[in-house]
Amino acid sequence: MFDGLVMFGNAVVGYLNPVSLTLAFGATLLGVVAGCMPGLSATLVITLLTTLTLKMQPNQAILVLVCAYNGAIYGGSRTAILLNIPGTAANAAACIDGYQLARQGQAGRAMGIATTGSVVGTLFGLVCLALFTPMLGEVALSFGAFEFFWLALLGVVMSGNVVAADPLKGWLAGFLGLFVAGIGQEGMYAYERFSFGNADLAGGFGLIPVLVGAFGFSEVLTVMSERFARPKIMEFGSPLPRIMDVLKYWRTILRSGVIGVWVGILPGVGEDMAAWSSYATAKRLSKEPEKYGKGSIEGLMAAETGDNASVPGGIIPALALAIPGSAPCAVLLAAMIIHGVQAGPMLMVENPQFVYDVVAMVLFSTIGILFFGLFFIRPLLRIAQVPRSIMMPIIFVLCVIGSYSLSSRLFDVYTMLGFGTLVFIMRRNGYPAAPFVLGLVLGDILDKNLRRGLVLSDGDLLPFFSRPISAVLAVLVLWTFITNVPIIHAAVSRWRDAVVARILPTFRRSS
Amino acid sequence: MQSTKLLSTDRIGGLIWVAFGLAVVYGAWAMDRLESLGIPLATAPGVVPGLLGIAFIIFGSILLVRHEPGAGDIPEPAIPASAAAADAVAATAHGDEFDWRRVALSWLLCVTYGGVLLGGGLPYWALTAGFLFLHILLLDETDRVPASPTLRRLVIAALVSPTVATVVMLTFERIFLVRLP
Repeated sequence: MFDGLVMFGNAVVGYLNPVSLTLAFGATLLGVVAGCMPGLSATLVITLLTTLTLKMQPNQAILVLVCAYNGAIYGGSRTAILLNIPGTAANAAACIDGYQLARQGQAGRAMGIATTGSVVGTLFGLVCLALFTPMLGEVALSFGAFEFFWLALLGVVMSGNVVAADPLKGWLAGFLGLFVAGIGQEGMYAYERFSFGNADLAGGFGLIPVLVGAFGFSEVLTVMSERFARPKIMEFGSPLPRIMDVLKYWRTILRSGVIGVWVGILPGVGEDMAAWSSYATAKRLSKEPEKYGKGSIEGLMAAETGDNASVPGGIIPALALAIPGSAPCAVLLAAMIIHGVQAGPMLMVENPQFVYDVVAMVLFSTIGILFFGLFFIRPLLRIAQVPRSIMMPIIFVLCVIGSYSLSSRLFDVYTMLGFGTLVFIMRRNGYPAAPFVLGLVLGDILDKNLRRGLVLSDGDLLPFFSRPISAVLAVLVLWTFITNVPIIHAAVSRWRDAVVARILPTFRRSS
Repeated sequence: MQSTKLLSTDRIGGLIWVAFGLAVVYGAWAMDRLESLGIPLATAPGVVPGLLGIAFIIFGSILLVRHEPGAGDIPEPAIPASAAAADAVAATAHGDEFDWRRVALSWLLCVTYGGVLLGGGLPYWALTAGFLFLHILLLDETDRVPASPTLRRLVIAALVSPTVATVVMLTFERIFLVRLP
C-alpha cells in the first residue's frame, strides 16, 4: 500500500519537469480538440499519435498517448451538447440531455456538468487503476496458458457481442482480426502461415498500419461519404460548474464511476458502452426519470462520468493481463509493445513503477481537462468548425506518412489502404471495427497459449475446462454465445426483468 | 424494404464468409505439420487457423440461413448497441445521407496518391500538395460530386495544400528522421 503511494509520488515528481508537463498538457489539448471534431475518434487520435511518438522515450510516448486518449473522450462532449453531434461514440449518450439543456439556454451549465462528471469520473477510475491493477496482476500470476487462451477468446467474443447491433457480425469481425494476426511467421516454430512466398507477408501485417487503416482511412471514407454543413454554434453562458449540481447528484456520480470502471475492465467493451450503461442505470434508479431526454442534469452527469471513468478502467486489464478493455486501449497496448513495455502479469513483478507512472499520466491529463474544459471552450469550438472536407485529406496524409515511417516500406502503406477499405466496407454492412482490432491485438496471445496449453497437457483438452479459473472463463464464453440463441435469450430476459423488478425498489432513491 | 435489402446483403455476406472459411480450412489443412521435427500434431501451425476457418463456416452459415431479422427473431442486445446508437444520434443531428459518389471519388484520390503514385519517383512534397489541392477542391460541403470550384475554395486549397505538405515533410524528415518515399 505504502510502496504504491511512494511509487505514485515518485511518478508525479518525475513528470514535474517542463518537457513532460508540456507534452502532457499539449497532448491533452490535442485530444480535447480532436474529440471536439466529429469524425476523429479517440482510437484514430491515439493511432496517429503512436506513429508520431515512435522516436520518443517510452515513458514520454505513453504519456502523450494516455493524455490524448483521456482528452479525446472528454472533448466529444462539447459538440454533443452544442451541436447534438457526438465528437466520439463515447459521447452519444451525452447528446440526449446535453443538447436539450443547450436548447433551453443552459449550454454553459451543461458543459460545466460534463466537465465535472468527466473529471470526477476519471479521478475515481484513477484510484481504481492504482488499487486494482496490482491486485489483478497478483491474481493473474497464477494464470497459465489455459486461462490466457480463454481470456483472449472472451475479449473478442464479448467485444463482438456488445459493440455490434448483430452479435454474429461482431464475432465474425473479431475472428477475422484473430486470423489476420496469425498471418506471417508464427511465434512457436517460426513457420510462415499464409504468406504465399511473399517476403513482406512472411513478416505478417504490421499492427500499426492495420490500425491506421481500420480507424484512419476507413474513418476518412466514412466522413467523406456524407455532406456536412458547417455547424453553427449556439451562444452559451459560464461553463463553471455549480457546486449544488455535484452535491445533489453525488450518488449518481459515484454509481456511474463504478459502472464506468467495471465496463472499462470488461475486455473490449469500451467507453461508449460505459456511458450508455451509466445513463440507463441512472434513469432506472432516478426519482425524476421523466426529465431524462428533456434536459436532465443527472442524465448528463451519469453519461459523462461513466465514459471517462472507463478510460482508466480499460487500462487496468491492459496493464495487468495484456487484455485491452477497449479499442483505444488496444492501440495503447500495441504502442506499449512497440516501446518495449511488457504489459501482463509480470509487469507488477518486473516494472511496478510503470503502473504508477500511468496513474500519474491520467492525473496530469485530468488536470488538463479541468483547465481546458473550463477556460478554453471558445477557441476549441472554433476548431470544431473547420470543415471536415478540409480536415479529412490532411488526416489521410498523416495516415500515409504515419504507416510508412514505422519501417520505411511502402508495403505498410498498401496494408493501411487495404485494411482501411476492408473495414469501411465491413462497417457499412454492420460489422464493427472494435472486435476486429481486439482480435488483431489478442491473436498472438490466443494462438500461443492454445498451443502451449496443448503441449503442456500432451494434447488433452480437459485442463482447458477442469482448472477452476479456466472453467469460469469457458462458461462465460459459452454463456455469451448461447444467450444469443433466441429462445434462450427470451428466457434469460424474462428472468432478468423479474429479478430487476424485485430488487429495483431497494436501490431507488427516496424523495 | 430495408430489411429485405439487409437480408440479401447478409446472405451475400454469409456466402462470402463460408467460402472464405473453406479456403482458410483448406490452407490450414494443407499446411506443413512439422511432423519431421517431432512436433505434436495438436500444436501444428495450422491448428488455430483451421479452428478459425471452421468458425467462419459456422457463423457464415448461420448468417446465410437465419430468418429475416424481425419480431423476436434476433435478440436485442441487453443494452443499446453503442455504435448503432451513436450513428442514430449523429444521423438525427445531421440529416445527411450516404453518398457513394463522394466515397468513390475520395477513395480514388487516396488510393492514387498513397497506393499508386507514392514512391513512384515524384517528389513527396509536390505529390502531397497536389493530392490535398485536388481533394479539397473536388469534395466540398455541397451536393455536387465533383464540386464546382469556387474562387473561395480555390484560395483555401491553394493555401492549405502547400502549407500542410511543407509542415508534414519537415516534421517527418527533419524531426523524425524519416527518409520520405
